[in-house]
Amino acid sequence: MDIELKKSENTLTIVIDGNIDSEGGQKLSAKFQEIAEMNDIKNIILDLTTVITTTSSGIGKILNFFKHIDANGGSMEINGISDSLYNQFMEIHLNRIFPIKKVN
Amino acid sequence: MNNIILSGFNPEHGNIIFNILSKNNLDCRIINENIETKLFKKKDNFFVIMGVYKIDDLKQIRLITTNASNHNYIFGILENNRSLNFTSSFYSQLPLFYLPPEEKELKKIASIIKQKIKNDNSEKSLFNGLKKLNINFEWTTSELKVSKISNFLAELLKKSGYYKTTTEIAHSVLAIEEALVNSIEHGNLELDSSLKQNGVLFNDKYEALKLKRLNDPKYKNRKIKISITIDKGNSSISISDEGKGFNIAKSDVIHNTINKPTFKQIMEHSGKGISLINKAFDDVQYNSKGTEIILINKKK
Repeated sequence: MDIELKKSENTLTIVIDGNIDSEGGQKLSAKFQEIAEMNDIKNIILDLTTVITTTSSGIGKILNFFKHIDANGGSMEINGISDSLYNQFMEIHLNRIFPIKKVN
Repeated sequence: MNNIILSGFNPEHGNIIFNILSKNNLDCRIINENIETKLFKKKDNFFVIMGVYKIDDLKQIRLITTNASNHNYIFGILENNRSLNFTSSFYSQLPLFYLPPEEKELKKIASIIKQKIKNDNSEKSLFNGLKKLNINFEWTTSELKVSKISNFLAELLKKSGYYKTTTEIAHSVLAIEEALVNSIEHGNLELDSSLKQNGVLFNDKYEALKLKRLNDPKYKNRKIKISITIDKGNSSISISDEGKGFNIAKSDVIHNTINKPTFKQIMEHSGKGISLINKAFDDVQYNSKGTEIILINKKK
């Protein structure tokens, strides 16, 4: 799993490439921590176009990251998600927590 | 069989590639219209050779390789565009070649394709007619490599004919991972998931306790036993731990309520893994003590 960051003013796009397994989850956690320390970031866009599936721990990490962004007055959305992951997220109603858009 | 598809090349490059591969006894066809829809529908494994000329082509490649990941992809990259070369290398499982196409390079690609077809056929024939398989493993908690063993077990199921697409395999790998992590963390290490719900960004309390117990002989030497059985087309993977036992009744409550969860339940951490496990297997059973989970696939 690879993570790419694209910054534009106070918006950060996080592109995750590959499935979020337990090793990928640790990588994600470290990256989220790094981003949490960037004071100028308000809005987060997650691009999950090439993620087919994730462990529940990966979902937990995304939710905890959202909590942090939300608590600091920022926003987060998913823009770009594979069909398979979209179904997995809809099953647990993540669309009620933050916007999930299928196409870039 | 006509199992090589060329797509996205300009007519001149497409014809050169077509002719060289044909000369090397590989049948191919050129499909440029609606390639993604055609690939999504195909369940067999095709070799798809695609031309990458501009950044927009990479977007299409991303979409195709994710949603039709059962195929093997090879990319022909415009030689003078370094950024295309760099990014495409992430998506390709096989070597890239450069455009304009050169005979020497394409001969190498042709021999790689032939070798891959040969290897796939020999793997298939090894498992053809397999009547029964039973393997038992045992690890101590601190030594079990979760990702590697999950991939290995899912690969055995794939070779035995359970899964056809990469999406199905990916779901089963992560569902097995999920079950193993539950046995390790909530079983042998006796970590309570309520520790994860303390509202901080990185579950420090949970992770700190996990690390402590992974070094504590009382917990780290407990065993995880795994057994995989394939018999008459049915398969089962059993994972058991030496913890105090999982509360199955509670898991049912979580799974049932997850259909209409409250905002708080969505935000909380537990129950999501069980839903992933249930989705990836035909049946999921537990022993009465709650120390063993059995993931079952039935004959298709």
